[in-house]
Amino acid sequence: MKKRRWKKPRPSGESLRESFARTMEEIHMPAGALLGLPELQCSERGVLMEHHRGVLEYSSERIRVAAKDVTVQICGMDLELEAMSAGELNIRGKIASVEFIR
Amino acid sequence: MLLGLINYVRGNVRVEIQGAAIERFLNLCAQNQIAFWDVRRVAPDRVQATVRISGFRQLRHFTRRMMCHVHIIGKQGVPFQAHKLMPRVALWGGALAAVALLCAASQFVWTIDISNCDHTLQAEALRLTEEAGLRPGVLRSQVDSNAIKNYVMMHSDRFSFLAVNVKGSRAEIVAQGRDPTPELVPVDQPCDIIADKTGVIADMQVKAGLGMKKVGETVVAGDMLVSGTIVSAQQQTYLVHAMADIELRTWHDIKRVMPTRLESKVPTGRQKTRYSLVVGGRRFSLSFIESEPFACYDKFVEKKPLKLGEDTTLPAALVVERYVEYAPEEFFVTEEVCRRVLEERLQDTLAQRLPDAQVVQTQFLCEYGQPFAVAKLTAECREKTGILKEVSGVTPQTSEDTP
Repeated sequence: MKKRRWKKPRPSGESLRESFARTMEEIHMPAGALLGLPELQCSERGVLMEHHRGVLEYSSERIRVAAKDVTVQICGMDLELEAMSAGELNIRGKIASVEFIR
Repeated sequence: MLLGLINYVRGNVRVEIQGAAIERFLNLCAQNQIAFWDVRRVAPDRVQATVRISGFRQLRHFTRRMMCHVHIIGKQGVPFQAHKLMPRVALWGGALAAVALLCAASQFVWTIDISNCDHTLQAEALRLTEEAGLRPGVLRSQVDSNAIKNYVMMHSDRFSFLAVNVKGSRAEIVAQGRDPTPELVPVDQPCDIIADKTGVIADMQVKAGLGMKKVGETVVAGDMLVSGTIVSAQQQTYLVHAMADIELRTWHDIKRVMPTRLESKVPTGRQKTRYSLVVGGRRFSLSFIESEPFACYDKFVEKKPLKLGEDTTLPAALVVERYVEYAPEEFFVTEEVCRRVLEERLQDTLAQRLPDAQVVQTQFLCEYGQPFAVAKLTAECREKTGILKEVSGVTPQTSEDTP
C-alpha cells in the first residue's frame, strides 16, 4: 500500500500565495508586503500609509484611501496630502481617527 | 531641509487643479510616477499641489482625459531664476570673469609660510628662497622645489634639512637648522689644554701631557692647565696631544633690578573694532573709526587671509583691529612678592647662562626700596674646563718647579 504524504489542510478558496503568507504569519514573519495589505504608521500629527490603491475622497476633514479588501478612513482637522506616490501616501494634520471599513 | 533644497535646485511649480474628479486625477498622477506634494483642498472642486517641472509637463496629458484644468499659481527654483537672469549678459559675463580671474589667481603663489626654525633662520631661508625664485606672485608652475632646495643648501651651511611644498597658492617651507659642529683637533696633533674659566681646581685627572696646575690652585681664563710639551731627563722634547678631565669650583654673581611701582591697565569695558580689506599692497577701510579712538588703549590686530578651501589663498586679507580702552592705575609691589619674583627670575637666568654647570649652593640677597628693588644671586658651581690649543712651543714650567 502506497504511503500518502501528510499535508496540512488548507481552507477552501485560499490561494497558494495566501497560504504562504499565512504560514509566514504563523512563524512570526511579516507577510503584509507579499499580500499587498496596507501598512500604516500613525501618529497624532500624521499617517504614513503603504500599499494603497488610490484616494477615494479627499477633504480637509476626511480622507478615504482604497487598499486591498479594505478602505482606510482617516478623520481629523486640517488634513493635507503631504506627498503621494504609486505605493505610498503621507497625510499630515490633526488626526482624530483611523478606521478600516470592509 | 535637504529635500527642500533639492526641490529648489530642480525647480517646482505650484498648480491649481480644478475639476469634478480630482481624486481620480491624483491617483492617475501617482500611478504614472508624477511626484506631487503639499496637496491642499481650497474648494470642493479645486486643489492646489506642487509638482516638479518634468511632472508638470506630464500632467498636461491627463488633464483632458480627466476633464480637469490645471493653472500655474507660482514657480520656484533655480531653473526659473536662471531663466529670469538669462538676458542679463553683464551679470553672466561678470560671473564668468570672476571665475576666470579666480582660476588665474590660483595659478600663482600668494603666501609663503616657513616653519620648524627660529627667526634668524627664517629670514635667511626666505632670502635664499627668494633668490632661488620663490616669492609671492610667482607662477606655481615655475616653482621647482628641488632646485630651490638645492640652491638654499648650496648657499648656506646653516640648514640640515629644507623642503618646499606648494599647496594651492600657498608655499610651505620646512627648514631645520644645523647645530654648530665643534672644532675638533686631530688626536695625533700636539696640543695644550687651556683654561676657559676662572676658578679653583676641584678635580684634575691628566691622561696625557704634563699637568701645570694642582688641585686647589686658582686658575684664570687663559692659563695653561696641561702642556703637550714634555721634556725628558735627557733634555729630549716630546710633543703629545694633551688629554685631561678638569673640574673647577666657580662663583657667579647675577644681579637684577625690578621696579616696585608699576602702572597697571584696568579695562573700562569700552572697545571698538575696525575692519579693513587689504588687497595686494592697498588697504581699504571698511569702518569709519578714528585712528585713535581712546586716550589709553590696547590695539589687537588680527589678519585673516581670505581662502577658498584650505590651500587656495586669495591675494586679499581681512584685517580686524580691536581697540580696547583701559585706565592706567598705579600700584606697588610688596616686598614678599618682589623677593619671590626676583629669586625665580635669577634662578632662571642662572640656568640659562650655565646650562652644564652643577650648582653646589646659592645665596640670594634682595634690597627692597622705592622705586626699585635690587637682587643679587651668588652661586657656587662645579664646571668642566679646558680647551685644546696647539702647542705653543714654549718650554713648560710646572707649578711644582716655581719657587
